[in-house]
Formats: sequence, C-alpha cells, structure tokens
Amino acid sequence: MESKALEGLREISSSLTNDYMGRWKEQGGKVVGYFYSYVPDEMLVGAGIMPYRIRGLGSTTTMVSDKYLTESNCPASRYTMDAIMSGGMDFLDAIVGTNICDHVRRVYENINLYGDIPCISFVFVPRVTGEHHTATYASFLEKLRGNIEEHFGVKVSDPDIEEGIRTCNRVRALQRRLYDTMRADNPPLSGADVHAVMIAAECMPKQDYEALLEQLLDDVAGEEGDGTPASRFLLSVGELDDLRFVETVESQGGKVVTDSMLYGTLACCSDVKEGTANPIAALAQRYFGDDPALCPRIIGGNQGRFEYVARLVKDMRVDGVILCSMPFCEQWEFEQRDLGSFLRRNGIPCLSITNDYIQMDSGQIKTRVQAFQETMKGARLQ
Amino acid sequence: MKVNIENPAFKALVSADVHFHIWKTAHERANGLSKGINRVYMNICCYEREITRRRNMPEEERDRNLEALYELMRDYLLLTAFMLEHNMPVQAQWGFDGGIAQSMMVGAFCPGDLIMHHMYWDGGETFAVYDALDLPDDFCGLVRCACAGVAEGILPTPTYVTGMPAPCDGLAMFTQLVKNDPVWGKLPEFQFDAPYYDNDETWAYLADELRRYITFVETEISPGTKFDLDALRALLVKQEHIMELWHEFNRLMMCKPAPYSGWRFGDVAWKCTQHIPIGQQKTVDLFERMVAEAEEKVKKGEGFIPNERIRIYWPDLRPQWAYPLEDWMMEKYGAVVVCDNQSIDPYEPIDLSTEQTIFEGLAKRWLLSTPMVRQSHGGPEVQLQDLIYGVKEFQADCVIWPGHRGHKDQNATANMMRECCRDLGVPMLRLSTDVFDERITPLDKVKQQISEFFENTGLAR
Repeated sequence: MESKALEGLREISSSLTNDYMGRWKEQGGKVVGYFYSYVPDEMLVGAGIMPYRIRGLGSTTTMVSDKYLTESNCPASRYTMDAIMSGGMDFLDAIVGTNICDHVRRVYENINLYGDIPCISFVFVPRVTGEHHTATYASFLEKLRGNIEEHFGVKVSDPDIEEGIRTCNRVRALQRRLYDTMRADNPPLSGADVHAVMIAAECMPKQDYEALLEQLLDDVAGEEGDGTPASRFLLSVGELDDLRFVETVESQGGKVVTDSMLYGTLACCSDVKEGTANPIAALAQRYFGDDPALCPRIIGGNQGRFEYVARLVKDMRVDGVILCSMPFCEQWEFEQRDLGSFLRRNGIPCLSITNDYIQMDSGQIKTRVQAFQETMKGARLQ
Repeated sequence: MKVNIENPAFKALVSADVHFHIWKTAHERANGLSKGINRVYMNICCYEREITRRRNMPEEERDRNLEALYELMRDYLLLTAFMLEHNMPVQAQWGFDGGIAQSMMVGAFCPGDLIMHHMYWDGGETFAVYDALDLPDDFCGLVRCACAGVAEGILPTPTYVTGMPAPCDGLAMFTQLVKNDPVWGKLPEFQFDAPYYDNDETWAYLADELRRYITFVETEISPGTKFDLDALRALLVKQEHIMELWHEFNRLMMCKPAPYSGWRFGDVAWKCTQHIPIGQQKTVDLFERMVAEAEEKVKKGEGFIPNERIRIYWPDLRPQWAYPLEDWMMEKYGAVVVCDNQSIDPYEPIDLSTEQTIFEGLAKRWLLSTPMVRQSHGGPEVQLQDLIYGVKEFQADCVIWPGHRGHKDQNATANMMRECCRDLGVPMLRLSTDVFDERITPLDKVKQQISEFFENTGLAR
C-alpha cells in the first residue's frame, strides 16, 4: 500500500532526528527527553515543549558508555547512554529522569554528572499502587511542573496542561483507530508499519504527528493488505524501538496485529480524564492510578497485564504470542517468564525470545518464528 | 497472652517441641507439603551438630563468638519452626518493620536469609533446584534461590507475605513471582513502598507505611490483637544498645592492625540486626563480648592476623564464598577486609519518646541502615559517601569491589567509584561476580585477579 504519510512516519521512526523536529527547533521550540513512560507528554505539550522519548537507535557500540556502566547493565541503557554521551542527542534541551529501573535511573545520574545536557527533574514513581501512592506520584509531577517553569522560564498553568491532555487524547484516539484497522482478516498495514507510527509519536511535535496520522488513516480506509497473513501475532516486549525486529518476525509470512508494548497499545489504551479541577491529579490517575498494568515494575500489576494480553488475543484473533526480553533486564525477563506460564496455562501458543537491544540476530529469530508458526499449524491440524 | 521469647520455660517448651518434630520428620515424613518446615528442622539439626562439635574442640581452637552466633541462629529457627508448626502467624518479609510484628507476636523469616541457611548446609542442593527452574540466568543468585525456595516448596509457607520494592529490581520481581505462586499467591500480603529521596517527607511517608502495616496485621492477620507501643519500645531499648555496641566495635576496627575481620563481623551484625528476633539479651552478650575482646586486642596491638599488611574496603555484601578467599588473602598477602557494606555502621539512635519518633526512626533505620537498601536507594551519593567513609576512617589501602551482578544500580556507577578512589588515592579492583553464587566467577579466577592487583599496585610488598 502506498501512503506518503506512512512513508514519512516510517522515516521518522528510523532515525533519532527528523525534519519536523528540525523545524520545531529552528522556530525556537524546546525539546525535552525522558526515559520510558512515566513522564506525561501532556505536561510538556502543555508547556509548549516537544516531548522526546529517549532511545539509542543507531548506536552500534558501547565504547563510550562502558566507562560509566558495566557488562551487568542492560544493552538498552548501555547503547542509549552511548548515543547520548557521543553527542547523538545534543538536540535535547533538557532531560527528565525516572526510577523506572535500576539501570535507567543510574543512566540519568551519570548524564547529570558527566553529560552536557541539563538534567532538570527526576520523577519518583512508586512501585506499589494505592491512593496515597498515586498522590505521591502526583506530587512529583507537580515538582516537574516547577522544574520546567524554572528551567525554561515559562508558566505552565492548569489550563495549559488541560490543553496538553486534550491534544494527547486526540492522538491516542487516532492511534486506537489505527489498531482497529488491524482487526481485518487482511490488514492493510504490517505490524512494522504500526510500530513505526507508534514510535514516531514520541519523537516529533504532536500537531504534526496528528496531521500525518489522520492522513494515514484516510489512506488506509477501505484498503487491504497483500494477502491474508499465515499467522496473527501479538508481540509483548519491554523496550523495542527498532522496526527491524518486527520486520524480521513478519518476514516469515505472519503479521503482528497487536501488541502489549509501551511503543504500542499500552500507550493509547486509555485516556486522561478531561475537564477536571486538577489536571495533574488526572495525569497521575491515568499514568499510575488507573492503569497499574502498564509496566512490570508495578508490583501486583501482572495479573492485569496478563488479562489485558488475553483480551487482545481474543479481540484481535491472535494465533500466537511472541514474548521478547533483553538480557539483564530483570523486570521484563521475569514478566515474560510469568506471562509465558499464564499463556500456556490458558492454551495460548507463545514463543519466548531473548534479544539484544540492537538487532543482530535476525537469522536466528527467523528460524524460531518459522518453527513457531509450523508448530501452531501442526497443532491446528491436529 | 504475650510470648516472651527469652523466658527459659518458653524456650524449653519450644526446644522440646521442635526436637519432637525433628524426630518425627526423620521417621515419618517424606518431602511432601511440609517440605519447607522439614528444611527448617534440618537446619536446626545442622546448627546443633556444629555447636556441639565446636564445643568439643580444644579450648584454644574454640571460637565462642561463632558458637554464640550459631546458637542465636538455632534459637531463631527453633522459634520459627515452632510457630509454623502450631499455626501461629509468621510473615515472610525482607526486613522493614523493625520489630513491630515481633511486638505483636508475629514470627518472621526472610526468604533470602532462610534460603541462605539452607545453602550454608545443603552442599549445593538449593543451587541444583534453582538451576532446574527456567529463571533468567543473569539474575542475582540470592533472588534466584529465594524464587526456587518458593516455587519448589523449599521454604516453609508463611501466614502472610510482606513485599518490598527495594533494594533492587530483582527483589521486586521476587514479589511478583510470589504473587503468581499457586500456594504463596493465595496468602494475604502487604506491600511497602520505598521513597526515593532522604528527607522529612520520606520519613513521614514511611511512618505512614508502618501504620498501614499495623492496621493490616490487626485486621487481617491477628484480629483482636492491638499494637502495643510499649511492647515495641521495650524491644527497641535493648536493640538500641546493640546498635551502640556495633558502633563501638567499628570504632575499634578502624585501628591498625584491625582486631577482627570486617567480613566476619558483618555476618554477625547483619544476622543479629536484620533477621533474628530483636532485643535479645543473648545478642547483647555476644556484642559486648566481641567489643571487649576487640578492645583488649587493640590495647595489646594485636591484629586479627599476625602480620596485617593490606587493609581492604569491600563496597558490597560479604560473599557467600568469602571465607576460603579470606583465608587465602590473609595467608598469602596479610590482607584483611576491614569494612564492607554489611559491617559499616551508619546507625543513628532512635528517639524512643513518642510513636511518631519511633516510627520515623524505624523508617530511617530501614532506608539508611539496611545493607543494600542503604546503598541502592535514591541516587548514588550514599554509595560514594560509604566508600569515602570506609576508606578514610578504616584506613583502607585499597578497594576491592565485587561487581555483584544483581546490583545493577551499583554497577552503573563504575566511573563514579573509580573517580572517587582516584581522589582518595587508593587503587580499586572491580571484579565481576555474583556474591551469592561462586560458580559465576570461580574462586581461582577471583584469586588470580586479586593477586595481579596486589602485585601491580605494589601492595604485595
């Protein structure tokens, strides 16, 4: 299927920088980088700042970061830090950290100490859910607002944040429409296309993204893919920002029709409540209170995540689930093990893959996916 | 009814009862549902046999401190087994409540600690069990063993579980595993949260966590039991004395030559303050004797080893494989570990005057004084402060950092540690090990790296 919007979004997702961000910067716009998913885009958008989810795409070495981190740290943190310390993200005007995991929180500390990009705020995210834990997270979002105001000399009012909430909710609604197109027997887009669209959301101005995504949805309306996929997959991964993994999976005739990923459905599965008296509390409620299932780091959220996956398997008529984790990432390695057990108990076929952050093992992945498809086919015939 | 665990009659009852069950275990039971309790009994037997063996050694070879520690371990396990066998409330926890549960007649074991008792005596059986599980192989050995302990029933089933998100992601994942376990997952649970920073808000936040916990025990575990501040205070009075003695002991360890081994003392200190029932007179006696002996040695200028030449600061836990390494380092290089993350003494006294001061004191003690939790919570500042304190105050000649692979946060401070050592003017060796699993880096390899380090830095003079 030909779509200029899709072409553009794929290009944006495959590079650390893009023309839209370039233009934003040329016009004096600021870009703030953050790790993972607990720094709400809404706050930054409301402040007139472009949020940018930090990733180490394109980094092929850890020569620089090896000075700061060690072999026991996960590849994502090592490659990402390498990209930052090598100047690959000098377009960032500031960085916000979170205690998302033991690796990433120290990457933030290292950049704070040795890097050139100002580290302006650290958002503490509790690991246990409950009313007062949500309030604690909200208090750190309040501190984030103060830090942004202080660093950039701007005023971030509640109505500003409310505006950010409305923008991001519109984006999420479009993303959900995108996933709806994957319900078809012969979806018009590949899983890699969808993945590209979701990544692009985190590295370009939201208004531009919204326009491109609307265009893409117009382009795909009524379209079909090249043929019914041999298998329909759900992909569950922690940090995956390189399209090549999904492309490799799909190279064997199957299609990733849905996912449980933060560069995926988890980013758009629910909205922030609009029109409340306290927009920061609304953000805390959505990112932490309502949806503790977002990440394995939240203790007690696993059952919710497993049920979420099971629901998607049913809704999207998934044949098999592909679980992928990185070495030395305790949270997702554990999650995949437990999720795998849950799926097997419920008769849902699954394949577990351990993969480096940079995509190098495509031959091995192809073989394993091929074998997985054949096993599922055999089981279906029986 | 209040149970006084130091009451001789109660102790005799517990001992007789447990010995009956040990006999029963040996004669009647197979490894079935109560495998976990059987293992506790087996550990008790091992400690007893070892205590007896040591008591029969020639007088000059006896180590009364180790005997006393073993007795404390045995008594703690006796009590735990007794409570489990009689369906009294026992929590599985990683050490935050600071005596609150004990003051409410709730027993406790730490899955990580109890599994280490097993590993101490079982000749590798626990490793074999965890190797057979499909746990990720780049995890902390302790977390993996504790997971195996739950999944395979090696650990006894407690009445309830308290979870802790600190000190590491691995421990949080252990909590997840527990929640998915078909047996443990059905137990009542209480999750503590851990703030990131150290400030007044933090202590208030953790004090509230303790209040939530008390309500949980009062309503869900022991309905009818009311928290009694005076009972807790009574335990803490004695425990505070133990803390003072710990501080005093470390003051003596700063002397040259060091009167004792930092690793060996860390073992005593951690077990006695984190895992066994607090506020015991027997623990006070042990600490008092250790301080008196160390004082005597310092007066005489005697060291733990006859010719101390190298003083090491070890910025992590004492490894499970420490003692053969220590024997080798002492014999070959006259090297002794003077301080590590278990024996370092950041303790500040708890103000016992009000409930709020007690709770905030316990909060500080947990976050700032529990090995690993102290060094890993928040930013890297505490880890670096400890490094500076350990090197300067304990007059260390070098730093040997084990690079425990479970401590991802510490491993991500490699350059900070290096720069800090450079500023202090001491060489640092970073190993790559698992302090709980010798097999990750075989001891011979560790010895070789340490040899080269001592030779290349001129410390092996």
